[in-house]
Amino acid sequence: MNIQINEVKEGSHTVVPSFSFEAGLTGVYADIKRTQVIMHQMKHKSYLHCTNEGLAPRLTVEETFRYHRDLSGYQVPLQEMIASFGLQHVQKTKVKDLSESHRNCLSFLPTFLYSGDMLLIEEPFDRLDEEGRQVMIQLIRKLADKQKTILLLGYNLEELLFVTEDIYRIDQSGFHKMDFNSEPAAAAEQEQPVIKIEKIQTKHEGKTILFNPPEIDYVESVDGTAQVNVAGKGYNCTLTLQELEKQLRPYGFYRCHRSYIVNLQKVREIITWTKNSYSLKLNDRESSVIPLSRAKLAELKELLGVS
Amino acid sequence: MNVSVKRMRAIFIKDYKEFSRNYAVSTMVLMPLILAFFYQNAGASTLDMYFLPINMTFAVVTTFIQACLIAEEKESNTLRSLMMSPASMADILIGKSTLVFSITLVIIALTITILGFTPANLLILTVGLMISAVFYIGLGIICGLFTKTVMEASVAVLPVIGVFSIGALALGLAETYPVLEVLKWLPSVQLILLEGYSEAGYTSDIVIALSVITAWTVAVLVVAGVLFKKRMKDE
Repeated sequence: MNIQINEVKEGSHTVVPSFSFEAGLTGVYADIKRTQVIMHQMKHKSYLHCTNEGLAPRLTVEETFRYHRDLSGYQVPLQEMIASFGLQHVQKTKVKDLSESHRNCLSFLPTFLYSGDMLLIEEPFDRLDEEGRQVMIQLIRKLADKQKTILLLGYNLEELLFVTEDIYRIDQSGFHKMDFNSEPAAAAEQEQPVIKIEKIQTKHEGKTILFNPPEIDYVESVDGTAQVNVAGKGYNCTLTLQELEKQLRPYGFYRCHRSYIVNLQKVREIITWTKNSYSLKLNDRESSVIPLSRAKLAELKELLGVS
Repeated sequence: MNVSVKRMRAIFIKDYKEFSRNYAVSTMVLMPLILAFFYQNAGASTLDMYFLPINMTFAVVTTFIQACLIAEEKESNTLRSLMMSPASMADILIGKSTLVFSITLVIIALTITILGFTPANLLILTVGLMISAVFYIGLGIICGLFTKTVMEASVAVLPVIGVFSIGALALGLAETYPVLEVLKWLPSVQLILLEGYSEAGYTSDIVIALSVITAWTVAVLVVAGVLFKKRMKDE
């Protein structure tokens, strides 16, 4: 059975695009909002396992197992089932006295027994200890072996990777399969790494402060000295603008004006005042606006890849 | 609609355990017994007096426990998985109602014994009590569906006590306020009349009283069924 997800829009913004998942175990790497939109949409079409599944608090673990087994009509020995949930040593404990991890494992029992061909699980490893995780991995694998279509929704990629490598991420344009091909990374490791560190040295109240280039918002020339602006604060630098430009260029900096070098990663907006006057607005803390020379506009647009 | 005895039994056992371990709910069964004891000591002798603790039992035991059993499923967030389970609506409702029905019969029997009340015709009274028990179970289901917690359920039974248990007393004021004659058609009042008729041996009146109670019961069960089905669809 395929799980069909329909597009959900919020104004003109696509929250969840449409997609159809094939049978088998698939992970969806989604934030809480998207997870909830998908869960809501599938409410009537498939079995949902939410993170807040409840249990009768005054029954013991064993009684809970017996109750759900009798309701589901499965013919499985009780002890075997309790063992597969890793709860054999707490079977006489009441549900309300269980540890959180045990209780979360136990709350998977109704889902394990009642789910049909299609199943959505929200945050399968939410609030579980290591032992609980192992139990959960085994249980999800057991369900997957029964030819069900299972969708795991979560925002912890590592946890999803415990059970499947078939993971999709969502953005406006659609579901994208994530590539976990580790070979290129392995090849890179074999090469002798060249350590090259470029720090920008600044002086502030007699102290020497080193900045990583990506931290810098922009560099400004004030009375002939270069001032490095980081998080809304200016630090004096002994280098000239020209030297700085040369050093910073590989990090995506650009000399946008005679007395300004800007970190292009931080440019939010190109403001056009008149035909010949432009400014750049940054997405730093202060939303600084810095001037842009008319002559540099064409080159800058090319660098940014905008028209 | 498929009905399975095994599933109903599972629900019955689970609810019995939950009920007996939840003292906030289970100690409620002592209330009518204590009331019966007081009435017996105070020298109750008229039918109205005998039937007040009995009608009270229906409201505070039958309706209250039934409402609690359903509200509790919501409170502990298990109603959704119960409705997604293979158990049908009939399984769930019959499983829960059987428990409440048995408790009701035991408590009523004890109440009557404590009161020292000897019915004129045990068979007719038993039939009347059993149909009434089903009626109050239906009311309990409706109360349970409109409440989310046990605490809310205990408030929701107040109107039931007010209308059906106390309503029988208010009939005494009918001489002053003729409007209150309507109360005669309440199932709780009809139960008292039923016992009166069977003492006097009016067969046709007995049939009328029983059919009035049955009509109430059927109406309540239909409403409860519709509401429950609607709730099941929402889940």
